[in-house]
Formats: sequence, C-alpha cells, structure tokens
Amino acid sequence: MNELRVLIVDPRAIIRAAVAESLVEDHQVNVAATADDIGSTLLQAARVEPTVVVVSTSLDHALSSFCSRLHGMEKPPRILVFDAEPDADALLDAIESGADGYATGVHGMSGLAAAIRAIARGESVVPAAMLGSLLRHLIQRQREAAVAAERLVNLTPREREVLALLVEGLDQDRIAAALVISPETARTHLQRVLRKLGVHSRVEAVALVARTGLADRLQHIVERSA
Amino acid sequence: MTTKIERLPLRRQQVLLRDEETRSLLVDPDRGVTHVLNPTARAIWELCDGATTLEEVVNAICQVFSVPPGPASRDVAEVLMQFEEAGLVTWSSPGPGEG
Repeated sequence: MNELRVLIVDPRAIIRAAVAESLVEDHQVNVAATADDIGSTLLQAARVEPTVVVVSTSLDHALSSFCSRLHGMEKPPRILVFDAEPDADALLDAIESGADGYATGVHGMSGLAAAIRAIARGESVVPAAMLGSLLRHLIQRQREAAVAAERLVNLTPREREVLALLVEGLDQDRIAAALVISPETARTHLQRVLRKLGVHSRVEAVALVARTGLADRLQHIVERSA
Repeated sequence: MTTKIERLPLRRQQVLLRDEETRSLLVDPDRGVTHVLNPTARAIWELCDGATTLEEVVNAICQVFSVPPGPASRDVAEVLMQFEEAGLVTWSSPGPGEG
C-alpha cells in the first residue's frame, strides 16, 4: 500500500474531472477518488486512504478546519492546496492552516504532478518566487504575536477572563452574567482591555487575538474559570 | 524588552535579483559576478533587509518546512556566510544607545 494515491477536491465537477483525467492519462498519477466538499472528502479519504489530498482554493469551506479534520484521521494524508494563479494571501492561509504545500497552475498539469510527487515524498512545496514574501508575512505575524503576548501579560486575571469571553463571542451583558458582575463593570473591564491591547474596538481585539494565535491560551483561561 | 544585541544582515543595494524560468540569480555589477540561488537562499536574500533577525528567519522557515530549529539555523547561517564571503551583504550595526 505504498503507492501514491491522490484524492482531488474541487467543488466544480468539470475541473475535478479534467484535473483527474490529465493526472492519470498524461502524468501517470494514481487518482484514487474525487470529492466536492468536506463531507465527501472525509468519506472518500476513509475509503481510499490517499497519500496526498489536492484541494482547490475554490472549496467553500475554511481551509484550517478542512486540514484539521484530515489531520485528525487515523492515517492522515498530506495536503496540497492548488490555486489557478499565484495568490500571496491564499499561500499564507494554506501554510497557516497546516497544509504541506501550495501549487499553482502556472506550470500546467506537469507542475501540479511534480508538486504532488514532492509532497508524497515528504517535502514541503512553495513556489520559489513566493517563498520570500511568505516568510516575510510569517515574520510579521511572529512580531504581532510577540507584541500581543506582551500586552496580554499586562492584563489583570479578570481582564483576561473578559477578553476570553469576548473572543468566545459573548457581548457585554452576557460577559457580565458569566462573571456575575454588573454590565457597567463589564464595560469598564472591556474598555481597559481595549486600551491595554492598543486597539480601538472589540472587533479589533478579537481579530488581534485570532491573528496572533493566542486564542488557545485564552480558551484555557475560560476553561479554568468555568 | 530584549537586551540582546544582534547584527542584522543587509543586502547591498547594487546587487540585483533576477528570476529566470527555472532559476534565480544575484548579479553583482561592481564585481562582475553572477551567483545562482536555490529557492531557500533566494528567500533568505529577500529577508536581508537590515531589520529581520536570524531567529525570525529560522522560525518562519521551520513553520513552512516543518523542520527542527537546529538544522534550520545551521542552513540559514551557512547561506548568510556565503552571502558575506561573496560580498553580497553587510551587517547593520546597533544604533546609538543600543550597545
């Protein structure tokens, strides 16, 4: 069972069929199955145990959730994200979502076939011309995370609880109820949190936490205080 | 917060990056020399901006290629030493008050 088995995921039937046919006929890549959404991907992956899942950026599903569902399988496949044209944001999303590579249609189907084989060998695939800007974006995220972590340290334990609940999606009144404090007190905490985080709105605070990967740490705060 | 003083690689402005179909080149017109870069060296070249630390480069490379920090550090240092030996980068000095 060491042979390369590929699962193609694209919501567009005609693209799915064309990619699969070209890979099989022209590039001798074994396409074991195709799928059009996350549900059929999981079913097909359980059935054929693919070595590599090639997922289109056209998939109408968050890539991070798609990758984590596949990584949670008993025999997790490697994941290659396929895009028609180079897109720096899509590449960043792919890498941050846990995909093993990102390939574009720039070098045609032979380029995709080469990327699939590289991914199957355990390599990471990123278009050479996009690697520098990807690393720069990741470094920017690291810096933002470091600044946010420093600011998070300056929050009091109560303010961290308030922030954690805000990230969970609770509004001021529900935060007050959860912490058994008055809405006015909750509002004061929220204002202090925004000031200490250096952001201007609750939406910005939530986005900052999400962007810097601190949501998990805050989740622990919620679990401990629950 | 950090007290560590780190010299940061800075690419020489005269050196030009040129992408060809299957490879990338650094052209040094002053010395009349052309260097061929692999994809990782090309990316490291782009990060030689005098503001990015070696640790930041290594962390980002580890995230993309799922490699441990030790080998990644050695590879990045090796590339930077080659850039330095070829006269392609200088090292930014700590500013006043930092040292």
